[in-house]
Amino acid sequence: MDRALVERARAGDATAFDGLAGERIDGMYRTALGILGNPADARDATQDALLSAWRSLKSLRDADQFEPWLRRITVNAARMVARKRRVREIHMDPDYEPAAVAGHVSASRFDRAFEQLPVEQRALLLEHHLEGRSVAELAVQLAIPEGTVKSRLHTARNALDRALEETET
Amino acid sequence: VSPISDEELAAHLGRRSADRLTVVQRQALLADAARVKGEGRTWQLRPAMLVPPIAAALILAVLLYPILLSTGWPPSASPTGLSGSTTTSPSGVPTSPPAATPSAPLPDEPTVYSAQQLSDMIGDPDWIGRVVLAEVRIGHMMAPPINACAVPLGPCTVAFLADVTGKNVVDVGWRDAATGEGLRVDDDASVRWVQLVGVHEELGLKAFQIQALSVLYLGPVVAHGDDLVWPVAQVPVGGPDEASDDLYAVDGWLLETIIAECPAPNDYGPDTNLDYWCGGSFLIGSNARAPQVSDVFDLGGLHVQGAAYQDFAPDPSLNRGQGTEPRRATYLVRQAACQPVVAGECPVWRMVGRLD
Repeated sequence: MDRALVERARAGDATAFDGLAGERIDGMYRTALGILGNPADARDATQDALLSAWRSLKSLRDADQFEPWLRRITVNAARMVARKRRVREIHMDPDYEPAAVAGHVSASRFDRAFEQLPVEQRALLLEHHLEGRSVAELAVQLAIPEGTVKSRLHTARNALDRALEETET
Repeated sequence: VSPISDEELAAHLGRRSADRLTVVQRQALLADAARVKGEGRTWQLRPAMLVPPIAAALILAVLLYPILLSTGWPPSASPTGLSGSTTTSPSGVPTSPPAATPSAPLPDEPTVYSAQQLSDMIGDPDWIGRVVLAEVRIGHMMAPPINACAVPLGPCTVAFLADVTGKNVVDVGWRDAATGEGLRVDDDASVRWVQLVGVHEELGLKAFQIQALSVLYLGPVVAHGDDLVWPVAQVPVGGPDEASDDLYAVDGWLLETIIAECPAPNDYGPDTNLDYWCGGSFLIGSNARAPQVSDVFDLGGLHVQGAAYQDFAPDPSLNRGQGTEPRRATYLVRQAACQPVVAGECPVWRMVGRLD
């Protein structure tokens, strides 16, 4: 990570921020999409996260923490979009079709179950099972003890199992 | 038993996240963010903003002028143009002093801008190239980017403006150093000893040149008591071998001396710096006498680099051998020690800009 670039962006350099955002926007979108499951919503969340990051960058005390800080902002933005989505009609991209995954659980069943989980649990499962972040890394990112991360992962996994069982029929 | 294995969970999560932003979507997101960022900009002074009040003042002046004339004002007409301009004798030597007369225009006190106003000038075509004063804090990057310093004598991107929203890149320029100190630069046309201007991080008055993507930091500015501007005669002069970051805003007349035959300096060579040899540019006070042929070695005032007049005087005249018309303005100078070849007294001075 370019610490100097973060410092410049934190001091208000829009060009530096554009450089940081340009390198991370795909990862932000991927996280938002994994949480929300809908490209249009994921784009909204990514955009909200970018703006939120720009506005609150001065509050970032340690430039080395930019990456986890940005991930938290992205998850928060996804949470806000998910919250809005509950009170309006769910819209799907007409061209977006979930791909099939070989296994016991169909794509539509998994998605229905996964989207019953709180956003924080979705984000945690994504970070750990898809992005491959270790318990130790997540503990640093979330600023919580490793034991708490393990506990939260266990809780999230159990919640997903229950949701899958409920959507079996 | 979990209804889904870790591998299948990861596969489903990968499927959910598989969609990628298209180039257009990506650009749209970044453009939207950039647009919203721009909306938060604070007020900035632009020359265009001055047009309406100036236009109104002109209209008012036109309307009031006949009334003022009828009251007998002004009591006597002033000569037009700069009365400080020199006249030329048949021998070609300027004979009248380039001194200010009561009707000579006094340069306005330079404007001191805020950090945000300075930031907003970056990239503005109305400001690019201009030298301004601002009261700012500068942050010094802990780890300058690779190739931050363009050589030789290119700016170094090693600092940033603090307390601003928007563009904040600060390039740091070079200044003259005493012979044997700093870096010896030989660009096949001249030789100079230089070093980077120090980054003065604390809040203070500083000079900058506006550029397309950044500001070039020229140095800290020393105020003249409660004023900013120094008369030529009162500019503090250090030791003959001293060079400094400090800049002085000096009100004076800038001119080029007559062109005369001079002996070559003792250590003359193809790379000898002749910036301060055999006349050249001088910043002189209002009471200075007219330049004479003998002045090619020292006219008094502040001996600045030879190209200063053509680089910084407003509307410079051509030097056809008899010297140039003096131009009064507020110029920024710093002490530049003794360069390798100097005609006259040391220290000499480096002019870095003009304040309008």
